[in-house]
Amino acid sequence: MVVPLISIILLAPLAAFTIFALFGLAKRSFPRQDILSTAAMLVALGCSLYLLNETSDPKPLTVEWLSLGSITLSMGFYLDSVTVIMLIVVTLVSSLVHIFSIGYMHGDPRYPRFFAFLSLFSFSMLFLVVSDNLLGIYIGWELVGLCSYLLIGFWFEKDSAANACKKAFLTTRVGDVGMFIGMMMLFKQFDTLSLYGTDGIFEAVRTLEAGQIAWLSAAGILIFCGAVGKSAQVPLHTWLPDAMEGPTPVSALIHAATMVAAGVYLVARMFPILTPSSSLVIAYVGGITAIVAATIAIVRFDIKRVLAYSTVSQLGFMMLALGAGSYVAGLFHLTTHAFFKALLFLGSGSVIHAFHAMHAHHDEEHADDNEDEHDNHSLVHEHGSEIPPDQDMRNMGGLRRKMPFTFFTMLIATLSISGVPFVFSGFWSKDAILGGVLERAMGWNSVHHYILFGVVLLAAGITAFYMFRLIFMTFFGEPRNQEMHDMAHESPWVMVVPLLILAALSLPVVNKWWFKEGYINKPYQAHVHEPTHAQLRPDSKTGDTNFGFSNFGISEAEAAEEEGGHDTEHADDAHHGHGPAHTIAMVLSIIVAGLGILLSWLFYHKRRFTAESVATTFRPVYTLFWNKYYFDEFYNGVLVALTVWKSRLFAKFDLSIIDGIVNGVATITRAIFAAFIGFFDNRVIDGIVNRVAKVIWSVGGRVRRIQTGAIQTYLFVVLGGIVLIILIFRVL
Amino acid sequence: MDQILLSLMIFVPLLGMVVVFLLPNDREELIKRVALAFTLIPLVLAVYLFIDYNKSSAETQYFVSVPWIDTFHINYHVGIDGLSVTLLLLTALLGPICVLASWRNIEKGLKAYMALFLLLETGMLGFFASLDLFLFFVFFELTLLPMYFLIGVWGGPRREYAAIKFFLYTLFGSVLMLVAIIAVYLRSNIINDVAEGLRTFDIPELIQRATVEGHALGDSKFQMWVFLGFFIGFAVKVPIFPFHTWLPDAHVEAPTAISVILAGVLLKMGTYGFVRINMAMFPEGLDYFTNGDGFLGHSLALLGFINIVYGSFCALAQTDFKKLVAYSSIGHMGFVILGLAARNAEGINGAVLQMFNHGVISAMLFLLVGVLYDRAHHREINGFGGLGNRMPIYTGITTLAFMASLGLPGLSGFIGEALSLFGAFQEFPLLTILSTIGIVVGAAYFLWTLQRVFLGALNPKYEELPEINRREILTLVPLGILTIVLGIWPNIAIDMFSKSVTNLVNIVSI
Amino acid sequence: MSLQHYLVISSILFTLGIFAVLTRKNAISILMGIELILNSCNLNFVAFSRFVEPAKNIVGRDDYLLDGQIIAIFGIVLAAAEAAVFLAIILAIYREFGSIRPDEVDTLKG
Repeated sequence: MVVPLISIILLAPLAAFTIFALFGLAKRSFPRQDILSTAAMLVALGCSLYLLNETSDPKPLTVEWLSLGSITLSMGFYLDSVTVIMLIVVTLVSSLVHIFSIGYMHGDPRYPRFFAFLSLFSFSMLFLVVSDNLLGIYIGWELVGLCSYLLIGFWFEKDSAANACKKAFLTTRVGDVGMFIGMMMLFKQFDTLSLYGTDGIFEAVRTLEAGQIAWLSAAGILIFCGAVGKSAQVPLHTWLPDAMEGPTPVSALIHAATMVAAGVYLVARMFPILTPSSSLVIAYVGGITAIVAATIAIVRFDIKRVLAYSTVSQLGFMMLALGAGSYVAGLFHLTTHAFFKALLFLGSGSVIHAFHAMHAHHDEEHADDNEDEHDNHSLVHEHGSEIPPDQDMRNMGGLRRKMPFTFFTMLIATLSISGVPFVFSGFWSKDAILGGVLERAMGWNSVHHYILFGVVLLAAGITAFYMFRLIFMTFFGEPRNQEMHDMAHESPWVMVVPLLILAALSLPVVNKWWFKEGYINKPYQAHVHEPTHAQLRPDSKTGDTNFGFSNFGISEAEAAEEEGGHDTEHADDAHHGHGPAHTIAMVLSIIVAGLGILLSWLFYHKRRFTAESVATTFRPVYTLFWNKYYFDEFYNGVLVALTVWKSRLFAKFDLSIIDGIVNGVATITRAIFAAFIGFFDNRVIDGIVNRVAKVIWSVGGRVRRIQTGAIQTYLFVVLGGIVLIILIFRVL
Repeated sequence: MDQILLSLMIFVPLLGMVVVFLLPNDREELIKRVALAFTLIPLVLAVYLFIDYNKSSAETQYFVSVPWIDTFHINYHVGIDGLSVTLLLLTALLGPICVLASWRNIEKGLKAYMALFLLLETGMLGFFASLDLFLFFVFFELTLLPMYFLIGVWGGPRREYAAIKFFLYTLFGSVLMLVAIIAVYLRSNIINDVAEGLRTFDIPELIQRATVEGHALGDSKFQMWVFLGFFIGFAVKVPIFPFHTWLPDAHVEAPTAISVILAGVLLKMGTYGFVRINMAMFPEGLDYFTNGDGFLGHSLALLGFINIVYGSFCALAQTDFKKLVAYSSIGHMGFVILGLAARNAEGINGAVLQMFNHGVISAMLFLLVGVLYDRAHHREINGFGGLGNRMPIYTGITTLAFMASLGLPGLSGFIGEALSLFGAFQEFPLLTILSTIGIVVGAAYFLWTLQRVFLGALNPKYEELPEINRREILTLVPLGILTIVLGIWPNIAIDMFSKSVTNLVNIVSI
Repeated sequence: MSLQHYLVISSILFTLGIFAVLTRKNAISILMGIELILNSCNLNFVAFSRFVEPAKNIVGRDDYLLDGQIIAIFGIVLAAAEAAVFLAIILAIYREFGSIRPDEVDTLKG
């Protein structure tokens, strides 16, 4: 029953795309591609929900995919609670995005294509989720990259979109190469890429010797590189804000369900091979990402970019959770974030849609610009300093009366992401992360984790600040641009309904139960009981082999899991009020969230302070934030330029040196060798030939005189000859 | 009956050449149809062989061996194993596609063009099937002559330069190869410095003799030198840095269909020869260059690495669409070399698969460039822009081909590349990691090209550019299907040759 | 009459023929010389045929052969044919050169 269900989940969206492709080849399009794709996603959603209770057999299907003599690579499905949750999140968000797009994309010249790409996108993500081996995950992984390329560049007439999609693909590919190298390392060691089962990598990892831990850490970090790319962690995060060039539903899909979730999902899946060192790297990357992106988000004015940076920041939270060992918290935040971030993006899409008339106008203007700049394509590009007017928050304000549903739903999402206590899911998941990090810090006495806790707490406060800044600027106060404000209107029901559904999902009652009931178990990490970085602290108890867990009573659960059973005892992370760490974390997180909201209220609603005056006071800091820590400048100015320069150099080298040598050899051969041979040939060989001809010529000239033309002479000579012959024969 | 099939397949195009010559000059439609028919017959036969081939056996199948030049013990010996049947299928598939691709754009001397093309096809098919060293060489050279004329007569503005460069380069390599062949022949019956039995050119026989204790062919120094002779011959064909500069010129000047054959099949002749002769016959010689011991032991992998990175970077700098694809070919053939240098099952299987896949994908790429060139009459990448709106189907197919070529998983290009790298990583981890730079750069130049040609605002000059037509789609669709199918289920191809490769792995792992 | 008589006559005719061929300035005369040479040969054939010792046949009688005579008749017929061709050539030469003197027709001169 499980295999056909998973197959339907995969094949339904794929079929929707295939139908589009086949029709497209015949220069037609399927009459109702939107309905087809949406229906396919709904079917997949139904099947995913059905799978909720079907996790008894984790490996329902394995097929031999490649057989190379002694080595076989197999493909298959893996189904556990995490898979099911991901399936539901992906199909649910994707379905809602499909429905929303019916309204949002209405009237676009490439309307059918949009839905076909959405379907392919969902298929890729679902394939990634259900794969039971690294190769399958990698395939889905790259297909997700391709689809994001296609969708971010959906309005490819805009140069900015064309640049953004290319940037997204290339940046993530850099990370993917790291992941690929990690895969090669694992393959070299274990001769397999399967993750589960007796011959899987996770089983093999347990038997590794202590001396191979460094190597395993390297592999883990390399695999994580893939996640850095896809989940937009520092330093590969720059593509995600640029990806806002795509249509807004795509942003929702990328940010909530598919692309960026893939990275977190991958790290969660690879959790058993993470060693203390690689975990620490992941935690640091996550923490840095969380704070860097949050600070950048404060100063953005483009509504979508604020959300984009908030996604980057939230992804940092998740990575930090996984790196700190709070496996369940990370996944919990992934799901809650999926819903409220999808809601935020769709809400912002609704706002942008409200300005749609302006949008169309703007597009025309933009197209004109492009023609002028047409010849200036290059791998290096200037980007996003100019904000489209319909996305500029400085043009908005007071929209809450015009768009009540949008306002209401976005407010719920904002409260959720800011961590307003108890009612909203975001609070619980964020708190789980903070608690998990603090718990690890206290448990291991690890100074690293204390630092990370502080960083992430600050990031949480900033998150509350900038999210409310967005709400205040957009929906409160007086309209700043009356012309645009007058044109704004509430969106049609196909767009509002998804918003309402997502708003409902942002309440904890709906999506908290599976974490609460211990539906997810933390996988066993074979090598994490050697927290070498914790040993740096003089007072740490280095002798304890089960050190990391001993204080918190997880070891029993671990032990139970080691025996292979799905124990009913839940992992600790999702529980609140369990030990001092979580209590402290909860109190602190409520305080910072409240502080952030308060400040935001003072700045942007009450206008006690103006942002401009603060910005002038802290000019250098502001400039740093405004320029996004100069990552783009560095990449464009240094890395890309270097690559292009190197390629030119190579090409020049090829043309002038290598080809030059070849042509040079040819020239030298012709000039020296051939000249000599030519001379020899002309004078000596040909000279002999001519000489012979001349001799024959002159001899012939003499001899021809014998030919008199008179028959009687000839006859006379003949007679003479006969007589001569007779005489000779006589004499002899 | 079965025995004659293979020979039939090889010589049907030759018969076609004669028939085309007998047709009147002005019946162009008829000439094209006849040529198409005579390329379709080998395709049907190749498909039949591909299906009928017993893949559970590593033995040579369908072999025919009859004396040809008895004085020198030269036999007409042809046969197929998993490796050659795959490449025969590729060659036979590209035959009719190239005839179709030449349907409208050959302006002069159509009859001679088709006749030469058919001759070329015989040469290629014969090369992949021959199991006698002399026959092998004859077919190798047989491809040279028609290619020279096809580039030199029907090519672009610098065609003569390109054709001569191509010809001389290849000839330079094949002269060294001929020397090596003669050396092998002369030694082929010497065991422990005593002549025993007859000399031979027979490839399986030579491979077998090389393993005999004390046989002159087994001597490792001898193998090294002969290996080098053959290697240079094949390296020019592949092409391996620094013997590659003929390739961009030849590609840029050659007409579309000839570029397709050049990239799709002729380059594979180099790597096929390398596998068939250098690896199978001279494992000791191979060992010198791939055992990971010092510079010499890394040299082959190093060449693969240079090909990948160098080719990719050069491609990034090109502004001529066709030249870009040509350099990308150099890069992709580097993966083949890298995989072969690994000498293990993953590496060699990956390399062979990459040969086939690159044949399909690069054929697609050149066909696509040809489609654009036929319409716009130039290939300057920066001169286009925004064609995505004007030609959506063309854009879609190009995106597919680009993605396949840059190694997107799910399309065939990825599997070969990945397996080659997986194999190479086990022997040469550092070089392999460095080679992955090629993957990123590969993505960069393809995406950049995609952007410059198809994305952005439509260049007003090309507002009336016609969409790709049905005949052109027909040439691309089989290749596109193959790319997708092999990407999803690569075992179809790998099954064919994995037994033969296992055999080879046993030979080379000494 | 012995064989010598015939041979002497034949030699005289032959010599006269040669003399005429080499010295006459008129093509017709040369033709006549050639005829003489031919006839001297015919005479020789007949004479030898008559005087050669005959072979014995199976029953022991002399078996006279007529080979020489037959060849002589061939020779006569040949002479007639030759004369016809020769005269035709002479006519053609006369039309071309206006003369039948061989020393004036020397366009083959080297």
